[in-house]
Amino acid sequence: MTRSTSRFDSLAQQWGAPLYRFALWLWGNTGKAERLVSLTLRRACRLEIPHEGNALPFLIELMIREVAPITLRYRGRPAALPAPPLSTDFPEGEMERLRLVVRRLPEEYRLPLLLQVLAGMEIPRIAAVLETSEASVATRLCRARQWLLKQETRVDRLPTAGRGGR
Amino acid sequence: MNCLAYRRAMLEAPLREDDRRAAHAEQCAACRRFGRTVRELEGQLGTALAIEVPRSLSERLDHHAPCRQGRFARLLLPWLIPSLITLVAAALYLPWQHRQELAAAHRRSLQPTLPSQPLSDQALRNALVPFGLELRPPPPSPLTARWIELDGAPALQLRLQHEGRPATVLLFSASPLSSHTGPFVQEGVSGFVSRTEKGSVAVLGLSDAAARRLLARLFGPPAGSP
Ligand SMILES: [Zn+2]
Repeated sequence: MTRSTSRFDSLAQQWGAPLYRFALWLWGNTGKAERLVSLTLRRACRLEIPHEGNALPFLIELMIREVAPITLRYRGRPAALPAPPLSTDFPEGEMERLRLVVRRLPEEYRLPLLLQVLAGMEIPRIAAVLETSEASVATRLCRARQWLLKQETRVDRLPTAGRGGR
Repeated sequence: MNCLAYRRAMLEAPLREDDRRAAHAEQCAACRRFGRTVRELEGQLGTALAIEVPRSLSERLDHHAPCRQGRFARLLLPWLIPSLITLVAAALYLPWQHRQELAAAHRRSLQPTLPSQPLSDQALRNALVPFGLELRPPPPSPLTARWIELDGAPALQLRLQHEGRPATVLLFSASPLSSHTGPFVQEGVSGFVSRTEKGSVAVLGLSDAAARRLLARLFGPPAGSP
Protein backbone atom coordinates (compact mmCIF):
# COMPACT_ATOMS: atom_id res chain seq x y z
CA MET A 1 0.00 0.00 0.00
CA THR A 2 2.96 2.30 0.65
CA ARG A 3 3.79 2.64 -3.01
CA SER A 4 0.26 3.57 -3.97
CA THR A 5 0.05 5.96 -0.98
CA SER A 6 3.12 7.85 -2.10
CA ARG A 7 1.79 7.89 -5.64
CA PHE A 8 -1.47 9.25 -4.27
CA ASP A 9 0.39 11.96 -2.41
CA SER A 10 2.42 12.97 -5.39
CA LEU A 11 -0.66 13.09 -7.63
CA ALA A 12 -2.50 15.05 -4.94
CA GLN A 13 0.37 17.47 -4.60
CA GLN A 14 0.56 18.11 -8.31
CA TRP A 15 -3.04 17.84 -9.49
CA GLY A 16 -5.20 18.07 -6.38
CA ALA A 17 -5.77 21.82 -6.60
CA PRO A 18 -6.75 22.13 -10.29
CA LEU A 19 -8.90 19.03 -10.05
CA TYR A 20 -10.63 20.42 -6.97
CA ARG A 21 -11.19 23.75 -8.69
CA PHE A 22 -12.79 22.00 -11.65
CA ALA A 23 -15.02 19.87 -9.40
CA LEU A 24 -16.06 22.90 -7.41
CA TRP A 25 -17.05 24.81 -10.54
CA LEU A 26 -18.95 21.85 -11.87
CA TRP A 27 -20.77 20.73 -8.73
CA GLY A 28 -20.59 23.85 -6.56
CA ASN A 29 -20.07 21.93 -3.33
CA THR A 30 -16.76 21.86 -1.45
CA GLY A 31 -17.41 18.57 0.38
CA LYS A 32 -18.40 16.79 -2.80
CA ALA A 33 -15.45 18.28 -4.67
CA GLU A 34 -13.01 17.04 -2.03
CA ARG A 35 -14.51 13.58 -1.97
CA LEU A 36 -14.53 13.21 -5.74
CA VAL A 37 -10.96 14.46 -6.04
CA SER A 38 -9.91 11.87 -3.46
CA LEU A 39 -11.70 9.08 -5.29
CA THR A 40 -10.33 10.18 -8.66
CA LEU A 41 -6.75 10.29 -7.43
CA ARG A 42 -7.16 6.99 -5.66
CA ARG A 43 -8.33 5.39 -8.85
CA ALA A 44 -5.66 7.12 -10.91
CA CYS A 45 -2.99 5.56 -8.68
CA ARG A 46 -3.79 2.24 -10.28
CA LEU A 47 -3.81 3.46 -13.85
CA GLU A 48 -1.16 4.31 -16.30
CA ILE A 49 -1.50 8.02 -16.98
CA PRO A 50 -0.73 8.71 -20.64
CA HIS A 51 0.92 12.13 -20.23
CA GLU A 52 2.14 12.40 -16.66
CA GLY A 53 3.44 15.87 -17.44
CA ASN A 54 -0.08 17.09 -18.09
CA ALA A 55 -2.33 14.63 -16.33
CA LEU A 56 -5.12 17.11 -15.69
CA PRO A 57 -7.28 16.35 -18.75
CA PHE A 58 -6.92 12.63 -18.07
CA LEU A 59 -7.87 13.03 -14.40
CA ILE A 60 -10.83 15.24 -15.22
CA GLU A 61 -12.04 12.75 -17.78
CA LEU A 62 -11.67 9.97 -15.22
CA MET A 63 -13.66 11.99 -12.72
CA ILE A 64 -16.61 12.91 -14.90
CA ARG A 65 -16.83 9.65 -16.82
CA GLU A 66 -16.11 7.04 -14.22
CA VAL A 67 -15.90 8.35 -10.66
CA ALA A 68 -18.99 10.55 -10.74
CA PRO A 69 -20.49 10.09 -14.17
CA ILE A 70 -22.44 13.14 -15.04
CA THR A 71 -25.64 12.64 -16.92
CA LEU A 72 -24.46 12.68 -20.46
CA ARG A 73 -27.21 14.39 -22.35
CA TYR A 74 -25.19 16.24 -24.89
CA ARG A 75 -26.34 14.41 -27.95
CA GLY A 76 -29.51 16.29 -28.73
CA ARG A 77 -30.03 19.92 -29.44
CA PRO A 78 -28.64 22.20 -26.76
CA ALA A 79 -31.40 23.47 -24.48
CA ALA A 80 -32.28 27.13 -24.65
CA LEU A 81 -30.32 29.31 -22.26
CA PRO A 82 -32.33 30.96 -19.50
CA ALA A 83 -32.97 34.67 -19.44
CA PRO A 84 -30.00 36.61 -18.17
CA PRO A 85 -30.04 37.41 -14.46
CA LEU A 86 -31.02 40.96 -13.64
CA SER A 87 -28.06 43.22 -13.39
CA THR A 88 -29.29 44.42 -10.00
CA ASP A 89 -28.51 40.93 -8.65
CA PHE A 90 -24.87 41.37 -9.41
CA PRO A 91 -22.45 41.63 -6.54
CA GLU A 92 -19.81 44.34 -6.47
CA GLY A 93 -16.60 43.75 -8.34
CA GLU A 94 -16.04 42.53 -11.86
CA MET A 95 -14.58 39.15 -10.89
CA GLU A 96 -17.38 38.34 -8.47
CA ARG A 97 -19.90 39.31 -11.09
CA LEU A 98 -18.32 37.06 -13.67
CA ARG A 99 -18.17 34.17 -11.18
CA LEU A 100 -21.84 34.55 -10.44
CA VAL A 101 -22.66 34.53 -14.12
CA VAL A 102 -20.61 31.38 -14.69
CA ARG A 103 -22.36 29.71 -11.76
CA ARG A 104 -25.68 30.52 -13.36
CA LEU A 105 -24.70 29.06 -16.69
CA PRO A 106 -26.60 25.75 -17.07
CA GLU A 107 -24.40 22.69 -16.67
CA GLU A 108 -24.76 21.63 -20.28
CA TYR A 109 -23.04 24.87 -21.27
CA ARG A 110 -20.81 25.26 -18.23
CA LEU A 111 -19.19 21.83 -18.48
CA PRO A 112 -17.78 22.21 -22.02
CA LEU A 113 -16.56 25.66 -21.09
CA LEU A 114 -14.83 24.34 -17.97
CA LEU A 115 -13.27 21.53 -19.99
CA GLN A 116 -11.89 24.07 -22.42
CA VAL A 117 -10.78 26.79 -20.01
CA LEU A 118 -9.75 24.83 -16.92
CA ALA A 119 -8.71 21.51 -18.43
CA GLY A 120 -7.25 23.01 -21.61
CA MET A 121 -9.05 20.51 -23.81
CA GLU A 122 -9.57 21.13 -27.51
CA ILE A 123 -13.03 20.78 -29.03
CA PRO A 124 -12.46 17.24 -30.46
CA ARG A 125 -11.39 15.94 -27.05
CA ILE A 126 -14.34 17.62 -25.32
CA ALA A 127 -16.64 16.00 -27.86
CA ALA A 128 -15.11 12.60 -27.15
CA VAL A 129 -15.44 13.05 -23.39
CA LEU A 130 -19.06 14.14 -23.64
CA GLU A 131 -19.80 11.55 -26.30
CA THR A 132 -21.22 14.08 -28.68
CA SER A 133 -20.28 15.76 -31.95
CA GLU A 134 -17.72 18.51 -32.30
CA ALA A 135 -20.42 20.71 -33.81
CA SER A 136 -22.56 20.35 -30.71
CA VAL A 137 -19.63 21.25 -28.45
CA ALA A 138 -18.75 24.22 -30.65
CA THR A 139 -22.33 25.47 -30.50
CA ARG A 140 -22.39 25.21 -26.72
CA LEU A 141 -19.08 27.00 -26.32
CA CYS A 142 -20.22 29.69 -28.70
CA ARG A 143 -23.53 30.25 -26.95
CA ALA A 144 -21.96 30.10 -23.51
CA ARG A 145 -19.53 32.89 -24.32
CA GLN A 146 -22.22 34.87 -26.05
CA TRP A 147 -24.28 34.60 -22.89
CA LEU A 148 -21.37 35.65 -20.71
CA LEU A 149 -20.77 38.63 -22.96
CA LYS A 150 -24.42 39.59 -22.75
CA GLN A 151 -24.26 39.55 -19.00
CA GLU A 152 -21.25 41.70 -19.15
CA THR A 153 -23.06 43.92 -21.65
CA ARG A 154 -19.83 44.37 -23.46
CA VAL A 155 -21.20 44.27 -26.94
CA ASP A 156 -24.48 45.46 -28.31
CA ARG A 157 -24.73 43.23 -31.30
CA LEU A 158 -23.62 39.66 -31.51
CA PRO A 159 -24.02 37.21 -34.34
CA THR A 160 -26.97 34.92 -33.93
CA ALA A 161 -25.61 31.47 -33.25
CA GLY A 162 -27.02 28.92 -35.63
CA ARG A 163 -26.88 25.16 -35.33
CA GLY A 164 -23.65 23.31 -35.45
CA GLY A 165 -20.57 24.91 -36.82
CA ARG A 166 -18.83 22.34 -38.91
CA MET B 1 -13.83 34.01 -43.85
CA ASN B 2 -16.79 36.32 -43.35
CA CYS B 3 -17.78 38.26 -40.25
CA LEU B 4 -20.17 35.61 -38.95
CA ALA B 5 -17.64 32.81 -39.33
CA TYR B 6 -15.01 34.93 -37.63
CA ARG B 7 -17.25 35.68 -34.67
CA ARG B 8 -18.35 32.10 -34.29
CA ALA B 9 -14.77 30.92 -34.39
CA MET B 10 -13.79 33.49 -31.77
CA LEU B 11 -16.61 32.42 -29.47
CA GLU B 12 -15.75 28.75 -29.87
CA ALA B 13 -12.04 29.00 -29.16
CA PRO B 14 -10.81 32.56 -28.59
CA LEU B 15 -7.21 31.64 -27.92
CA ARG B 16 -6.66 29.40 -30.91
CA GLU B 17 -4.13 30.80 -33.36
CA ASP B 18 -5.65 30.94 -36.81
CA ASP B 19 -4.27 32.71 -39.89
CA ARG B 20 -7.67 33.06 -41.50
CA ARG B 21 -9.03 34.78 -38.43
CA ALA B 22 -6.04 37.05 -38.26
CA ALA B 23 -6.44 37.96 -41.93
CA HIS B 24 -10.11 38.80 -41.45
CA ALA B 25 -9.49 40.90 -38.35
CA GLU B 26 -6.79 42.76 -40.24
CA GLN B 27 -9.31 44.11 -42.73
CA CYS B 28 -12.48 44.36 -40.59
CA ALA B 29 -12.44 46.90 -37.79
CA ALA B 30 -15.73 45.71 -36.26
CA CYS B 31 -14.53 42.15 -35.96
CA ARG B 32 -11.18 43.32 -34.65
CA ARG B 33 -13.03 45.06 -31.82
CA PHE B 34 -15.19 42.02 -31.27
CA GLY B 35 -12.13 39.77 -31.16
CA ARG B 36 -10.49 42.03 -28.60
CA THR B 37 -13.61 41.95 -26.43
CA VAL B 38 -13.83 38.17 -26.56
CA ARG B 39 -10.16 37.73 -25.73
CA GLU B 40 -10.53 40.15 -22.87
CA LEU B 41 -13.45 38.14 -21.56
CA GLU B 42 -11.39 34.97 -21.90
CA GLY B 43 -8.61 36.44 -19.81
CA GLN B 44 -11.06 37.47 -17.13
CA LEU B 45 -12.74 34.11 -17.28
CA GLY B 46 -9.42 32.40 -16.64
CA THR B 47 -8.83 34.63 -13.63
CA ALA B 48 -12.38 34.26 -12.34
CA LEU B 49 -12.27 30.48 -12.53
CA ALA B 50 -8.89 30.25 -10.83
CA ILE B 51 -10.45 30.39 -7.39
CA GLU B 52 -8.24 29.94 -4.39
CA VAL B 53 -7.96 26.40 -3.11
CA PRO B 54 -7.76 25.80 0.66
CA ARG B 55 -4.16 25.38 1.78
CA SER B 56 -5.02 22.26 3.70
CA LEU B 57 -6.50 20.59 0.63
CA SER B 58 -3.77 18.04 0.03
CA GLU B 59 -3.92 16.97 3.70
CA ARG B 60 -7.66 16.62 3.51
CA LEU B 61 -7.59 14.52 0.37
CA ASP B 62 -8.03 11.03 1.57
CA HIS B 63 -6.58 8.01 -0.10
CA HIS B 64 -9.09 5.92 1.85
CA ALA B 65 -12.05 8.05 0.81
CA PRO B 66 -15.24 6.21 1.72
CA CYS B 67 -17.30 4.98 -1.13
CA ARG B 68 -21.02 5.07 -1.34
CA GLN B 69 -22.85 1.91 -0.43
CA GLY B 70 -24.71 0.84 -3.43
CA ARG B 71 -26.14 -1.11 -6.17
CA PHE B 72 -23.48 -3.74 -6.61
CA ALA B 73 -25.32 -6.32 -4.56
CA ARG B 74 -28.46 -5.87 -6.58
CA LEU B 75 -26.49 -5.95 -9.81
CA LEU B 76 -24.35 -8.96 -9.05
CA LEU B 77 -26.66 -11.22 -7.07
CA PRO B 78 -28.70 -12.44 -10.04
CA TRP B 79 -25.44 -13.39 -11.72
CA LEU B 80 -24.35 -15.41 -8.74
CA ILE B 81 -27.51 -17.47 -8.43
CA PRO B 82 -26.38 -20.01 -11.06
CA SER B 83 -23.28 -20.57 -9.00
CA LEU B 84 -25.40 -22.12 -6.24
CA ILE B 85 -25.73 -25.26 -8.28
CA THR B 86 -22.17 -25.55 -9.53
CA LEU B 87 -18.84 -26.79 -8.38
CA VAL B 88 -19.34 -28.26 -4.97
CA ALA B 89 -16.39 -30.50 -5.56
CA ALA B 90 -14.09 -27.57 -6.14
CA ALA B 91 -14.63 -26.55 -2.53
CA LEU B 92 -11.96 -29.03 -1.61
CA TYR B 93 -9.26 -27.24 -3.55
CA LEU B 94 -8.53 -24.61 -0.94
CA PRO B 95 -8.09 -25.00 2.80
CA TRP B 96 -11.09 -24.03 4.84
CA GLN B 97 -9.66 -20.80 6.18
CA HIS B 98 -8.76 -19.56 2.72
CA ARG B 99 -12.28 -20.27 1.56
CA GLN B 100 -13.61 -18.29 4.50
CA GLU B 101 -11.47 -15.34 3.50
CA LEU B 102 -12.52 -15.55 -0.09
CA ALA B 103 -16.16 -15.71 0.83
CA ALA B 104 -15.75 -12.79 3.21
CA ALA B 105 -14.02 -10.77 0.50
CA HIS B 106 -16.83 -11.56 -1.86
CA ARG B 107 -19.47 -10.62 0.67
CA ARG B 108 -17.71 -7.29 1.12
CA SER B 109 -17.48 -6.95 -2.62
CA LEU B 110 -21.22 -7.26 -2.82
CA GLN B 111 -21.75 -4.16 -0.74
CA PRO B 112 -19.85 -1.02 -1.58
CA THR B 113 -19.69 0.35 -5.03
CA LEU B 114 -18.92 3.53 -6.82
CA PRO B 115 -21.52 5.18 -8.98
CA SER B 116 -19.84 3.83 -12.01
CA GLN B 117 -21.12 3.63 -15.52
CA PRO B 118 -20.07 1.15 -18.18
CA LEU B 119 -16.70 1.80 -19.77
CA SER B 120 -16.35 2.47 -23.45
CA ASP B 121 -14.21 0.07 -25.49
CA GLN B 122 -11.25 2.44 -25.35
CA ALA B 123 -11.68 3.02 -21.62
CA LEU B 124 -11.76 -0.74 -21.09
CA ARG B 125 -8.56 -1.18 -23.08
CA ASN B 126 -6.92 1.52 -20.93
CA ALA B 127 -8.26 -0.04 -17.76
CA LEU B 128 -6.68 -3.40 -18.63
CA VAL B 129 -3.21 -1.94 -19.11
CA PRO B 130 -2.27 -1.86 -15.41
CA PHE B 131 -3.19 -5.54 -15.17
CA GLY B 132 -0.85 -6.32 -18.03
CA LEU B 133 -3.77 -7.67 -20.03
CA GLU B 134 -5.25 -7.12 -23.44
CA LEU B 135 -8.58 -8.33 -24.75
CA ARG B 136 -8.21 -10.87 -27.54
CA PRO B 137 -10.14 -9.91 -30.62
CA PRO B 138 -12.98 -10.24 -31.22
CA PRO B 139 -14.21 -9.17 -27.78
CA PRO B 140 -17.24 -11.12 -26.54
CA SER B 141 -20.57 -9.48 -27.02
CA PRO B 142 -22.43 -8.43 -24.96
CA LEU B 143 -19.71 -7.37 -22.53
CA THR B 144 -20.23 -4.76 -19.83
CA ALA B 145 -17.20 -3.36 -18.01
CA ARG B 146 -17.25 -1.02 -15.06
CA TRP B 147 -15.19 -0.07 -12.03
CA ILE B 148 -16.45 -1.32 -8.70
CA GLU B 149 -15.12 -1.38 -5.16
CA LEU B 150 -13.72 -4.71 -4.06
CA ASP B 151 -12.53 -4.87 -0.51
CA GLY B 152 -11.95 -1.13 -0.41
CA ALA B 153 -9.94 -1.01 -3.61
CA PRO B 154 -10.98 -0.43 -7.20
CA ALA B 155 -11.64 -3.55 -9.22
CA LEU B 156 -12.58 -3.86 -12.83
CA GLN B 157 -15.75 -5.87 -13.29
CA LEU B 158 -16.59 -7.51 -16.62
CA ARG B 159 -19.96 -9.14 -17.09
CA LEU B 160 -20.65 -11.36 -20.03
CA GLN B 161 -22.18 -14.60 -21.24
CA HIS B 162 -19.92 -17.60 -21.49
CA GLU B 163 -21.03 -20.97 -22.80
CA GLY B 164 -24.61 -19.95 -22.26
CA ARG B 165 -24.16 -18.84 -18.64
CA PRO B 166 -23.83 -15.39 -17.13
CA ALA B 167 -20.33 -14.88 -15.77
CA THR B 168 -18.55 -12.13 -13.88
CA VAL B 169 -14.83 -11.47 -14.13
CA LEU B 170 -13.14 -9.28 -11.52
CA LEU B 171 -9.67 -7.82 -11.99
CA PHE B 172 -7.99 -6.34 -8.96
CA SER B 173 -4.58 -5.77 -7.51
CA ALA B 174 -4.98 -5.50 -3.75
CA SER B 175 -7.30 -7.80 -1.88
CA PRO B 176 -7.16 -10.88 0.33
CA LEU B 177 -8.06 -12.68 -2.85
CA SER B 178 -4.69 -11.82 -4.34
CA SER B 179 -2.88 -14.35 -2.22
CA HIS B 180 -4.91 -17.29 -3.47
CA THR B 181 -5.19 -18.97 -6.79
CA GLY B 182 -7.34 -21.86 -7.91
CA PRO B 183 -11.01 -22.71 -7.80
CA PHE B 184 -13.22 -22.15 -4.81
CA VAL B 185 -16.81 -22.29 -3.69
CA GLN B 186 -18.04 -21.02 -0.39
CA GLU B 187 -21.45 -20.00 0.81
CA GLY B 188 -22.96 -19.93 -2.62
CA VAL B 189 -20.09 -18.06 -4.26
CA SER B 190 -18.21 -20.24 -6.67
CA GLY B 191 -15.39 -19.24 -8.88
CA PHE B 192 -11.80 -19.41 -9.86
CA VAL B 193 -8.95 -17.06 -8.98
CA SER B 194 -5.85 -16.70 -11.09
CA ARG B 195 -2.84 -14.41 -11.15
CA THR B 196 -2.18 -12.05 -13.98
CA GLU B 197 1.20 -10.51 -14.60
CA LYS B 198 0.31 -7.53 -12.42
CA GLY B 199 -2.74 -8.48 -10.40
CA SER B 200 -5.37 -11.10 -9.89
CA VAL B 201 -8.41 -12.16 -11.79
CA ALA B 202 -11.47 -13.90 -10.35
CA VAL B 203 -14.19 -15.54 -12.37
CA LEU B 204 -17.54 -15.96 -10.66
CA GLY B 205 -20.48 -18.08 -11.63
CA LEU B 206 -18.65 -20.67 -13.73
CA SER B 207 -17.09 -24.04 -13.11
CA ASP B 208 -13.35 -24.23 -12.79
CA ALA B 209 -12.86 -25.57 -16.31
CA ALA B 210 -15.30 -23.11 -17.86
CA ALA B 211 -13.62 -20.24 -15.98
CA ARG B 212 -10.22 -21.25 -17.38
CA ARG B 213 -11.68 -21.46 -20.87
CA LEU B 214 -13.24 -18.02 -20.45
CA LEU B 215 -9.94 -16.47 -19.33
CA ALA B 216 -8.14 -18.05 -22.26
CA ARG B 217 -10.78 -16.71 -24.62
CA LEU B 218 -10.61 -13.21 -23.13
CA PHE B 219 -6.91 -12.76 -22.57
CA GLY B 220 -5.11 -15.62 -24.25
CA PRO B 221 -3.25 -18.48 -22.58
CA PRO B 222 -2.93 -18.00 -18.81
CA ALA B 223 0.40 -16.61 -17.64
CA GLY B 224 1.51 -18.20 -14.43
CA SER B 225 -1.88 -19.68 -13.58
CA PRO B 226 -1.98 -23.24 -12.40
ZN1 LIG C 1 -15.79 41.11 -39.93
